[in-house]
Amino acid sequence: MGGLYALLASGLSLAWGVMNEINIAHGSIAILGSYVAYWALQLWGIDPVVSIAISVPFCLVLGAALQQFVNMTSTRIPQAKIEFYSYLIFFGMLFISEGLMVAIWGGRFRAIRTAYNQTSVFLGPIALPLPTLIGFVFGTALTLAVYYSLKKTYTGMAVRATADDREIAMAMGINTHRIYVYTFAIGSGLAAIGGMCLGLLSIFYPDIQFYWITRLFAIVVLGGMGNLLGTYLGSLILGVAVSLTTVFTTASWADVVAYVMLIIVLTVRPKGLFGAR
Amino acid sequence: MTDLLVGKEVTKIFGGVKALDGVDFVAREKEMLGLIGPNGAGKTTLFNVINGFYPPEKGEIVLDGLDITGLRPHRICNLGIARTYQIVQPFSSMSALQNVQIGVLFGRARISNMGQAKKKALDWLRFVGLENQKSALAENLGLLSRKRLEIARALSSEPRVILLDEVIAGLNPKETEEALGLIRGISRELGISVLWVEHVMKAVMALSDRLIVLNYGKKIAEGTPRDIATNGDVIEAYLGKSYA
Amino acid sequence: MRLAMWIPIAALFASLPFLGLPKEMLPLLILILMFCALATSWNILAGYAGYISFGQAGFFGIGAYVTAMPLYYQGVNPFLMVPLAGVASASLAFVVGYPCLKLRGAYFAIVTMALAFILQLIVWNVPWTGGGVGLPLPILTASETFIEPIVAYYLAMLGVTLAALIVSQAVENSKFGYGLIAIRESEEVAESAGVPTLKFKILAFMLSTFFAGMVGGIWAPWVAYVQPIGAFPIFVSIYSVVMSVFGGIGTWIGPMLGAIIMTWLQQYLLTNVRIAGIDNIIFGAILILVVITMPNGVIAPVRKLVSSFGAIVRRVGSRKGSSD
Repeated sequence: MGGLYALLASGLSLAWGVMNEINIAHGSIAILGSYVAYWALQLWGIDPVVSIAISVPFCLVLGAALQQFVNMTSTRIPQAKIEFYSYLIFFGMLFISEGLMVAIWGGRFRAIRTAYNQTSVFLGPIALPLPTLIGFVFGTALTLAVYYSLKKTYTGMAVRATADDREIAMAMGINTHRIYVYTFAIGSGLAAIGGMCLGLLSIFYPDIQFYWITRLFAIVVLGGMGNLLGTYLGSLILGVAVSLTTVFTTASWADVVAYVMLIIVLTVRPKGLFGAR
Repeated sequence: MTDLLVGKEVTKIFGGVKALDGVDFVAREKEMLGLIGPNGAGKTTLFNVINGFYPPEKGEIVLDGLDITGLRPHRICNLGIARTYQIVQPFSSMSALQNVQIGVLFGRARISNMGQAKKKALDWLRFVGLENQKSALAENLGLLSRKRLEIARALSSEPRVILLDEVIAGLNPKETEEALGLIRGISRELGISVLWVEHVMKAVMALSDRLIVLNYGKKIAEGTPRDIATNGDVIEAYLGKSYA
Repeated sequence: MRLAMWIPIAALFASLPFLGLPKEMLPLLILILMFCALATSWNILAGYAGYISFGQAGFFGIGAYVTAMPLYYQGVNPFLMVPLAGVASASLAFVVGYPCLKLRGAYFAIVTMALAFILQLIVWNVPWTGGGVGLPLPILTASETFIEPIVAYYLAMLGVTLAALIVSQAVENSKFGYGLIAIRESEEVAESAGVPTLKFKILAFMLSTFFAGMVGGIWAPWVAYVQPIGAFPIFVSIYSVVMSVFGGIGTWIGPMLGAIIMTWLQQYLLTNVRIAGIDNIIFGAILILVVITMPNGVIAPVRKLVSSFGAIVRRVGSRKGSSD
């Protein structure tokens, strides 16, 4: 599960670290991915994993558009109050997106069913549901991919520079607004894939996005915002914690554990376990 | 003149870096004590420790015999220490009068009646010369007015010691003279012990009764302005070895 | 002096049901009052002190269960339990306030949202609250409430709402309120000026949740059913935020204005525009629009209108006098 969380949380962490933005609506995009995968299967019989080809580009563009919107509107808010109000904008987007989802798709529970949905892979004595494994694989692979591109590619370095010090990055000729858009878009794309995996794994419905954003927030805080590896590790830790709790008690207590961990971490170590920001 | 604020062996460490290393200081009643040193010497950190924002790793701060080390900032304010900030931060959406009212309400005087507080606040505004702007919103005031407001707010807490952090920065010569007159007034007329950080050498040398010099967190000199001006260590700290 | 102004208002609204107000209007009024109370009390912490909480739903739900459980198990008259519902919520706020209020802005927002979820989950998992299924509550009859039940709910909600408004107004002009505003504007400076920030924040949090709890406590017997999803609805938190921001965050009258307008709007949308979720869409859009264009809420231009109107009246009055 940890790998899957990482997939979902990385985008949030990136946006946070680079732009000091807390994209509350991140969870929305993930669930959007779930819905796209579902309908792709229903309407056109496309295998969910393949449906990424549809959802990812769509979410990339959507993410870019959203970030553009934020870029443009942020300039209208007086600088002093910007931290105060900017996340309200994201909350607004979250509500809108939830409403839209309910309007278009209704509040019914949905789940994606494929041939391999229910099968498990056996690793020694442990049975892993296949979807979880897919999530883990995607999560780890993509996290590594993003990590390396941040380190090695030109754009990656630009992103890191912007995260460190926005003004100096601008002075060096980096188009920070464009970087913001890229970062956000990539985050959205990752979330879309994560959403697809989620759809395979469990049931979903519009309201579930509130639940996910809180969980993802817990992960990002746990691992340190902006720190990609930290987020990955944080995801693993939370994933393990949740799974363990599920074994001993019921699934819902596991959620409580996640949230309580969030509160504890925030009060004791606001920078996260590995955070550097 | 009694010792009012005494700091002994104050040490503050931030992740391995000693921002303050065993600093001793004494601020006396009715005295103007200047705190100078190159950038990064630890001056603002010392203020933050005195104020209560950071507890020191070692050492203690004593106000008129009472150990205030590590107390919460609002308690320290109630006991008689007020402070201004390098980057002026008034309560922006409140009027000048309301800004000062806060100090009156929550400072050492602890006045709870709003009407009374208003009257006193007006008196303080008069002292700093801002009574014409009493209804102006803090965010709309010019730099000098905001600095005056900051001082008024600090004074309205009725402190026995006031910490002024680079008040003169950013003011033109005429404004500087007015500000200095105000600061002198705080010491002479109100009898408050002034501990001020300043980079403008002429000002701090001219007005201070005594000076303390910090460099890399350590106190490297203490004395009258005359002593400091001729002190080899101080010259070296500011200008480098070749000038000492 | 200010208190006196409320007495005629209270008397007027309290007597409405007896003066021939059609009973069908009462549910809508109760709803408006409910959101008014929620938004106004939310504003105490969020508007004055600047700590935006997304957890009103959590405290609302606690209050709901505090009246629901005794009613279900022992038949205790819920109206007696309402103040206790408020106290329970405030106590919870006291306990979680200490760690939570050390967090800034957005962190605090998410943590409070998480808090609402935690509470919902705990209630879900604990057997004696009825778990996921919830508790069906006996519908009260006139014999237990002395007057017609719907009127009783109306009066109770009216009482809580008026109390919230009065308290809010009192806070705004008090030393406590000034301290809160100072905290919002510049918390560190406020602290060094002698404002006991942590104490004040916790107190504000407790006040805002106190009323939320009472509102929940009245709501539960009114709808006669409590279950985790319904009692801790995210839209309670959402509406509190949007209504206050829309109406005018940081004033005692703004949230009330926002609540009145937006409850009408919501009811209109739900009955006439038969698209599910349309309320969230519109509210979210309003939130964004308001933040971008009128961060101080609708009350700001309204105030300007009123004061310029007043200025015109004065000028007309003086001209009349001078022409004599």
